[in-house]
Amino acid sequence: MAGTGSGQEKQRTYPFGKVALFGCMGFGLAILLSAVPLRNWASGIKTDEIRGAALRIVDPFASLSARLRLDVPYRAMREGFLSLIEKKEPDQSGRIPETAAAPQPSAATIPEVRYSPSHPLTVLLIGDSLAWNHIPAQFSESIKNRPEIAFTRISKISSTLSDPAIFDWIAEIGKIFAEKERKDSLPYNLIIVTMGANDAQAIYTPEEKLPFQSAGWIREFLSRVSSFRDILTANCGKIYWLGIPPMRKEGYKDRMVFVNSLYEAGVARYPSIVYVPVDHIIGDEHGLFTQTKIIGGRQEMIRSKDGIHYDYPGAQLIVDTIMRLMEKDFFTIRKTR
Amino acid sequence: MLFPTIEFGIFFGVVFILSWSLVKWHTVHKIFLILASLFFYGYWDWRFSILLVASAVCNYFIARLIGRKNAHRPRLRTLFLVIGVAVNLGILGFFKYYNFLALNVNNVLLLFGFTRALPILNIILPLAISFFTFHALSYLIDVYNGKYPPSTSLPDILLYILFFPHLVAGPIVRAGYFLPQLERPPDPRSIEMSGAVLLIAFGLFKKIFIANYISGLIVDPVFENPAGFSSLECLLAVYGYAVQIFCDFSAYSEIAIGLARLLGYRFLDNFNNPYRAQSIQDFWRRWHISLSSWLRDYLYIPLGGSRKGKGRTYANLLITMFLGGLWHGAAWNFVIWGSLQGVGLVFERLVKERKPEAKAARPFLRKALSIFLTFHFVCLGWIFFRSPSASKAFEYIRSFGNIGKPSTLISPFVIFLIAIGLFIHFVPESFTSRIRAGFDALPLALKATLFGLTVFLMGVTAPVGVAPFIYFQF
Repeated sequence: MAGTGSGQEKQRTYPFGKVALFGCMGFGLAILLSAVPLRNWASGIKTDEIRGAALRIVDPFASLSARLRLDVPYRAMREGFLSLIEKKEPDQSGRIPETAAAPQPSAATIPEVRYSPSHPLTVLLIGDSLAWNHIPAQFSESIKNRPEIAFTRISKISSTLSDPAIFDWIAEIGKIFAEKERKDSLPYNLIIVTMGANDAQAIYTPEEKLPFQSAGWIREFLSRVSSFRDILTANCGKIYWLGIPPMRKEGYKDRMVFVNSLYEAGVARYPSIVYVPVDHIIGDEHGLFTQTKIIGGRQEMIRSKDGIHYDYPGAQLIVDTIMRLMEKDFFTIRKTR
Repeated sequence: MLFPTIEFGIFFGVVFILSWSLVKWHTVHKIFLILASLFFYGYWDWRFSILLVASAVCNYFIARLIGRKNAHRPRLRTLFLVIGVAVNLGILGFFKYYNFLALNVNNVLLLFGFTRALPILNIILPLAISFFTFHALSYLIDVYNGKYPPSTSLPDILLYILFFPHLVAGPIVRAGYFLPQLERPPDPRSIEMSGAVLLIAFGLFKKIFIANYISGLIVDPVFENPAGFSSLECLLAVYGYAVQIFCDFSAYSEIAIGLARLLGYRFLDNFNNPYRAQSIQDFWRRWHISLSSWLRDYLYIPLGGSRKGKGRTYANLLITMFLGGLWHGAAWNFVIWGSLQGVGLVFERLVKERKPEAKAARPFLRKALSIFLTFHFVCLGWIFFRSPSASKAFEYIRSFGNIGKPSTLISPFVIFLIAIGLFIHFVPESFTSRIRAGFDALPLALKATLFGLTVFLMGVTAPVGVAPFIYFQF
C-alpha cells in the first residue's frame, strides 16, 4: 500500500459522462458537508472581485447546508479532533521548549535581578515567519551554555497585524500571557518582537476596506500597533522590538520601509521598549539589502534565497546584537549591584 | 498552485471537463492541456513560464537536428547532443548552483587574500527546474541513442515537458513512454476512474493527515533546534521525517498519477514500499524510482556501470550518488547525503562480493534485521537531507546524546502517525488489490458517496494551511 500502488491489473473503465457524474455527486456531498471551511476559504480570498464571486457561489451552499443542519457534523467533528490534537501538540504554534529545564520558583522567591539556572531570565520571542526558524535556532545556540536564560518562541507564519484572520495577535497574546501565568506564576522578563513582513496589505474592517497606506489604513494600523504594544508592556518590563530587515524586491522594499516607520513611531518612545533598527546589522554600508557579508574572514549568505528571511549567519548577527543588549540590560546591572 | 487546495480542485474540475470536451479535436486538445499546464505553473510565477516554453521549444529543435539523417556525419549529431545537454545543464546550473559555486570560490579567494570576488546574484530558483531539465535531457539522449525518432510535433514535446501533473515534482516520465500516448487522443469512453480516485484519495490522506501533522508536531521543531530536545525526541523526529518525506513525496506522485489517469494518460509508479527494502540497493529500486532509474540509465551506465571492473564500478556508484545528492540542492548537506548513499552502496557491494548469498534463502530474522539496518542507514541520510546545513546535521547527531533532557513533544498522536506511516509499508499487495477490486465493484453512487465522505473527513482533520510538498524546492 505504501507503493504508488497504482495497480496495473485490469480495471473497469467508465465513460466521461459517468466520471463527471461521479465527480458532481462526490464533490457535491463534500461541499454540502464542508460548507463551513469552504465559506472560510472564500472569505479569505484577497482579491475583492474573486472573493465576491466565490462568496456568491458558496453562500447558497452554506445556507442550504445550515438549513439542513449539515454543518453540524463538520463543526462537531472538527472541534472534537482539534481538542484531541491540541492537548497533544504544544508545538502547533511553533513553540520551542524552554532551554532551562529547572523548576520555576514562585514570584515571592525570585530575586529582583539575579538570574540563575533555578531563577532564569525568561525570554519570549514572538513574530511572523521572521521569528520562525533562523533567529530562534541561533538564539538557542547562543544560550546553550547559559542555563540562567530560558527561551521560548511563538511564531505564526504569514501572521500580520493587518489581517487578524491568519492569527489574531492582539486577541491571542493575552491568552499566551495568561497561560504562562497559570503555569508558573511568572511573567516573561524580556519579549523580543520581530514581525511586519506581511503587513503591507489592505485592512478589512467590518465596515470597509482600507487600502494599504491610505489615511484610514495608517490610523487603523497604528491603533493595532498601540493595542498590541500596550498588552506587551502591561505584561513585561522589557521589550526589544526588532525593525524589519531591508528587503530585496523593488516595491516590497519601499513598502517595508513604510511599515517600519509606523512601528518605530508606535513603539520607539516607550521607556520599556528598545526599538532595534536592523538595517545596518543586516544590510550593506548604506543599510540596504545585501545577500552576503564577510563574517570572520568568510563570505556568508546572510539572507535566504527569497530575499526576505534571514539565513543562519544573518540571524546570528541579529542574535549577537540581542545578546549584547541583554548583557547590558539584565546582567551588567546585576554585577554592579 | 498546490494539489491539496480548493483552488487546485476548481482548476482541475474545469480542466477535466474541457479537456474531455475537446478530445475530438486532437491538436486543440493537446494545446488546451499545454495552456492549462502553463496556467498551473504561472499561478506561482508567470515569468518563468517563458523560460519553460523556451526550454521546451529549444529541446524540440535540437532533437530534430540530432535525429536528422546524419549517419554519414555522426560527429554532427554528437555536437548537437552536446549543445542540447549544455543548454539544459547551463540553465539548471545557473539558477541552481551559481551562487553556491560563487560563494565557495570567493571563500577560497579570500583565504589567499583576494578581495575581488564573483558577484552573488539575486537569483530566484524557478519551480520545477530540476524536473523539466531531466525530462528534456532524457528525450535528447534517447533520440541520440536511436531509441525513438525525434517528435515532429511541437505540441507533443511541449505537453511532454509541461504536462501539469508531473511538471513540478515528477514523477520523471520518459519520452518513450509518454509520447506514444499522444499519438492518438485518449478514449473518452474508457477512463480508469476507480484506480485514479483511490490513488488521489490515498495521496491526499498521506499528505494532509500524516505528513503535515508530523512535520508540525515533531519534525520541524526538533530539526530547528536539536540541542534543545532529548535524545528520544531526536530519534523520533528522524523516524518522523522518514515518514513525512515518504508520505509527502509519494503522495505527490500518487496524486499526479491519478490526475493523469483521469485525463487519459498513464505514468509509471514512483514508489514501492521503500522502507521494506532489505539493502541500500533495494531501497533505491523502491524510492523515487523515476529518479533512480534516470540516474542509472543516463549517468551510471554511460559512465561504464559495472562493466569495467570493480574499481570503476565503485567509482561510478560514488559519482552517480554524489551527483544525485547535488541535484537535490546546492549545499554541502546534500553533497554529504548523496556521498553517504554512494559509500553505502559500495560497502554493500564489497560485502556481497566477499559473502554472496541467495536472497530468497534468508530466514525471517535475517530479513527483519536487514530491513531494520537499511531503514536506519536511510534515516542517518535523512538527517543530512533535512538539516538546513551540514553543521546543523552534525549538531543533530551530537544531540542524540541529550540523555536526561525532558521530552515535551512525544505524544500518542505523534507515535500513532509514525507507526501508521511505517505500517503501510507492510500491508500485503493482495490486500490492496482486494480493496481496489472491491471499490471498483461498488455502484457509482456508493463510490461517489465514499469519495465525498473522504474529502469531508480530510477537511475535518486538515491542519490550518497546507505546507508545500518537500520536493517543490528541488
